[in-house]
Amino acid sequence: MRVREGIPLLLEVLKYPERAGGLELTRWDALVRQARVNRMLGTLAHSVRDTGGWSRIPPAPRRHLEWALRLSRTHCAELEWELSCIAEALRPLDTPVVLLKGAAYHVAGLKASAGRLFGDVDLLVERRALGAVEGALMRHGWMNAHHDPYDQRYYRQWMHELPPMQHIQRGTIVDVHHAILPPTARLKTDSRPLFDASVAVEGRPFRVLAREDMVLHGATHLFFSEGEMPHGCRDLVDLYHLVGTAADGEFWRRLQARAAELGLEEPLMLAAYFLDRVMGASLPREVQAWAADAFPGGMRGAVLRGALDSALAVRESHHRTLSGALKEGYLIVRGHRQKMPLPLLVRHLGRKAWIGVFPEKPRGGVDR
Amino acid sequence: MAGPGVVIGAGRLSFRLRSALDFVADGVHHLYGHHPLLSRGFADFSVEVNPPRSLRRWFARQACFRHDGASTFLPLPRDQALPLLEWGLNWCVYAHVQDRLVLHAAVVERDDRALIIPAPPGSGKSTLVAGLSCAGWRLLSDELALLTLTGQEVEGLCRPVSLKNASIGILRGIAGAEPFSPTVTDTLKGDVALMRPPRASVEQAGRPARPFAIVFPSFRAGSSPSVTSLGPAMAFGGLLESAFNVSALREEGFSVLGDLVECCRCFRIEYGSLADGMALVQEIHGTGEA
Repeated sequence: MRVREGIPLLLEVLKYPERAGGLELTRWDALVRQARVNRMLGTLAHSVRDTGGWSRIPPAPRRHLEWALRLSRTHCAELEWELSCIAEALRPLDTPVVLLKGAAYHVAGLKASAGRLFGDVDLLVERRALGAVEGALMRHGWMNAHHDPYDQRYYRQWMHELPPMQHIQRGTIVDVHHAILPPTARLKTDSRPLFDASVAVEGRPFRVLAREDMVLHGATHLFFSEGEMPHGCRDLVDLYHLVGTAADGEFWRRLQARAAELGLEEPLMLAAYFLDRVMGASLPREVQAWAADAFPGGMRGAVLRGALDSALAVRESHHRTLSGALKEGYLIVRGHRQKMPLPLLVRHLGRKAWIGVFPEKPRGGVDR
Repeated sequence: MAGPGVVIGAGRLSFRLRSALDFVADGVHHLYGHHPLLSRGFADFSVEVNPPRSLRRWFARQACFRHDGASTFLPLPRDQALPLLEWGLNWCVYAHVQDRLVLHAAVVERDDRALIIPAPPGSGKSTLVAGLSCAGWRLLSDELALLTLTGQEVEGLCRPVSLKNASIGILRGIAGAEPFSPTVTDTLKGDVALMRPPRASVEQAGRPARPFAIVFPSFRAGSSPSVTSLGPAMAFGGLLESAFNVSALREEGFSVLGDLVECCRCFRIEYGSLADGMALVQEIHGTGEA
């Protein structure tokens, strides 16, 4: 079920970083561009550096990798500062705070974090602690970034997170979640077992999800929200690093069992299907067969496969083709359909369309 | 420049330029006439200046700058394509280069003593260095100074000099019309023309220079020439405002600036004509004579 025989250069070098040393300059030209366009230059730089072939890379492309390493060092230092500020704000609350996604990969020291740049810090807290967490963050300078009453209601009533909170001085953003899927979504999962299995991070007042749950959350986030596709390939590579590069049958059995417990088999199936198809990841044979078997058939499957092939592909350039844009549009609609039942979705999109055409006057604004 | 484009070497960097617009191709061949064309298959930045993919391709025609296929700036009227390309290339450098401290500053050098001239637009730094480059100084850059993180050296890419309004006529009077691109009128910055840097400067673009002085220029029509000496702290503050990536370089960037103001003489100059400005710069440079 592979897309084609060879895999794109970027994915090949991420899988086998030792091959970087033997590339010609023209191949480096393509590789650096692919990595930059797909937001993985830092990831590439770390992978290549860690395999020791650094000195065999020609100086011109090596410089780009060095630039990326430096940016990722700065990013890590800024993230550390941000985490210490969040820790200080939330420490008095005595409630479990689970880091998600990029920040979690960072504090857990996972390979997926090396060189990865990301904007927001994502937290998971218990629903009953939401108010206290929001208050504590506000007292330490984070403000609600959405002032529109409709947006407030959208997040608070229907979504699995508070409206994004932005720090008034640093401009950094914290997303506070109480679940990994909206309560309105078709897929349902309870947050309790996620907290119960979460792991304390040594030396920090944070927790991270258990490894299996990290994979399931990553897959759910990638395949069941509407806004993730611009960096779909990067997120798929994250999953590749999270599941490990060996065909570890034992880990996958635990993963499948956990997915069944949490009701997240569908995202896991999609993750396995596209890890195999796009990355040629070495999955256990029975997992490959399971994913191929469970992937939707018929027209629906073909459309979904076509759209995700396009969204998860390594981009050569930021330029979008019409067919790419249509497929992305389909995935945005699909993502919304997964998040909300149809009547609510119609209402939400109707409201967005209305505001798009007739923007509300900002309150207290100056008359013109 | 259609198809795969051409790769031009500028200092230690290289740019792959593509455009389907004939006047852009002609302009690039003219302005980069002294720069080497590279054929080694790798370019640091692949950019294009082309019509947008919208109706503005045909009506009220525009041009778009793209890096790796993404538009970094809003499209501009088509006749501004060449200045747009230069602004875009500046962006490539200051948004990506992280092994140099990138300053918004012009750099010229003579007798192994380089002058770094940081200033906001409109202070006359491009005019000043264009004039100096015609008077035998080596031009390193009119926009971006690249400071090495070790060794206290400064580099430039020696790309075309961007001149505005009255400066265009003054420099044409000195250098003749030949090195200039056609003048583009009514841009955001007024009239703009690009001047090809002298061959000797381009040929030495890969060679770093040793900073000798930092000069903050202020052109004010009609004012009489004056020089004020600045302490290191004042100069540091001024340089910090001109630094693009000091936050990305963190402590290292900070100490590069600190070392620079310690090892350089720092001045503010005010002048009312290009001749006065050049004389002040010569005078500052002369203080380094043994």
